[in-house]
Amino acid sequence: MNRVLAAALLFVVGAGSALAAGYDDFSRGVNANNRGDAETAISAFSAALASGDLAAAYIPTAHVGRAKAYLQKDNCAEALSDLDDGIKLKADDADVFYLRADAKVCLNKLDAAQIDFNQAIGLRPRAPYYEWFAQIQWLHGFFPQAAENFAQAVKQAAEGNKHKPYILLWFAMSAGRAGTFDQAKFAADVSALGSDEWPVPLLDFYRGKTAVDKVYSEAASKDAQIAINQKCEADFYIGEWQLARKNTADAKSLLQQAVGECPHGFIEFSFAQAELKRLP
Amino acid sequence: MRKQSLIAMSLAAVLFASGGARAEEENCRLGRYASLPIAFDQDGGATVPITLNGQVQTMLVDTGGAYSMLTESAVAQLNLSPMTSQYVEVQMFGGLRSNQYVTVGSLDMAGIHFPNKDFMLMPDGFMPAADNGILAPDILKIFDVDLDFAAGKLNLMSQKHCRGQVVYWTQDPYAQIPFFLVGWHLRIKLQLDGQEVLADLDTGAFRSVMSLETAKELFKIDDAVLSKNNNRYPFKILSLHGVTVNNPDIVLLPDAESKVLDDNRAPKMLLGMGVLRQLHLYIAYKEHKIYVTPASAH
Repeated sequence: MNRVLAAALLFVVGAGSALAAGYDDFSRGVNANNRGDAETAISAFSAALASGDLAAAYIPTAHVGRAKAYLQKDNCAEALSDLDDGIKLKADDADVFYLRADAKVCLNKLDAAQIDFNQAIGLRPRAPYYEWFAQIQWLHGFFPQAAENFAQAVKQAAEGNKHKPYILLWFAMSAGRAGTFDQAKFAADVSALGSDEWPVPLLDFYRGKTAVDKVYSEAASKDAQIAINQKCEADFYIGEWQLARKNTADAKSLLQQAVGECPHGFIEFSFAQAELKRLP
Repeated sequence: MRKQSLIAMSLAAVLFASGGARAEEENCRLGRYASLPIAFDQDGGATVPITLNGQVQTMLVDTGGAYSMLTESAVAQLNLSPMTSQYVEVQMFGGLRSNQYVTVGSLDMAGIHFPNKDFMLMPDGFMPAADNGILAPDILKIFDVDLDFAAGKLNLMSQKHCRGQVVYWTQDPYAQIPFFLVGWHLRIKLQLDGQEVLADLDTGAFRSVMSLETAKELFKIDDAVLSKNNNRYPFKILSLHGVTVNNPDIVLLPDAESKVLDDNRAPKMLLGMGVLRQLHLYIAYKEHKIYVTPASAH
């Protein structure tokens, strides 16, 4: 029998099935997390875990997926519980230890967070982990800790890594807020990059070599999208520089510009939003 | 980097020399070279473990790519030195380009061995840190690719089989989606709210993405509608050859941001994992067909 029905409706994706419902709910949860729909993600992953027929390999992933959704809603205790379950089932995933560190920072358990983070780094010693953990600490206002981890991320980043200037910028921002910024050492680190391509003008600004006007003129570009992206970054990082000097009004204005103009996928967009929430 | 045709020939020779092909075309039996366990990364991308120079690497299965790639961190961990290719430059989503590559002395995929395989270099930060690179059609298209997401398996199948007789996992009806190859990309025609759209089937895209400019032209979308819906458009039905997706989640992106949907040869949409993860896909490269059932069909 020819089982292909070329013209007729064969099946509807997402309609669910009486068989293996757990996987359908799991897939729905993953999609919901990707859309930023935490409520749907939590209910979908909960259904997947309760189904009893989800493939064993996906059960830790379902716990972690639900934890991520809980973290998005700042339900950090619930997230921690799921991450504990995820790690019990699969203890070799650096990302999960990293997320658990995130949950513990949220719950103000800084020492315990650092232990989890060290575990993550031990499993996967990569500059991005130091950087991400530092950004979590920055988000929660723990600037000295963030500066330390950004410094580690700078050390770990390979020579010629095109992202390294941004890690240096974040280090400078955090150290500035922590009151530990060493401009001379920073200047040496920037010189060692051996580049003057964007975002180095921002780094030159932080080390006192360039004025604000020059940064914005360097941010301009014949490519309209690049010009938008670079102005977004200039607004955010100069806004943060102003904040480190307690110039709150100027900082707020720049950060509001960043929120208004940055592409929504840029970290500067979401972190400018976060910063504005905690400003008076 | 050696020219692509030479690389393809050397891979095929290794397969046959090792006696890996077990299909018996005359009996219409399917042959499986290898089965790799699928995990999902933090973006919902399907990853598989492969061994490079004795070290296990986590690779994103990326039918939307061209050449397999390794991240800068993976290359550093493997102690490999990048070189500049005379012949190849890849452009990634967002427009970033790379003409750097490394040669891995030994690649093992569940018993399939490739010596001296080249991988293009991908900057760090482009994919989740847990992923070490992408497994792209330069390798995938040597096989038929059976993606059983519900069971968590990527099966690499022999292309030697009777035409059309590949849906082994269910007796239920299945869809056949014809594709044509553009480079190594799987280009398909689908219907979106009644309009025909050319799309690439892209397991490396964790959400489906469409050109904003094309969407505005095809569906007469105005900016007020987009602003009201947080830059999303409420599409109703996506259908392809008997498969229907209600209320498909499609991100609309300006061509200037994607840089891969912006010329006449480009697709106008990438059909990503948001849809594909809900399906069981058998990509028969030689037949130019994708056989599809719901993921949970068995």
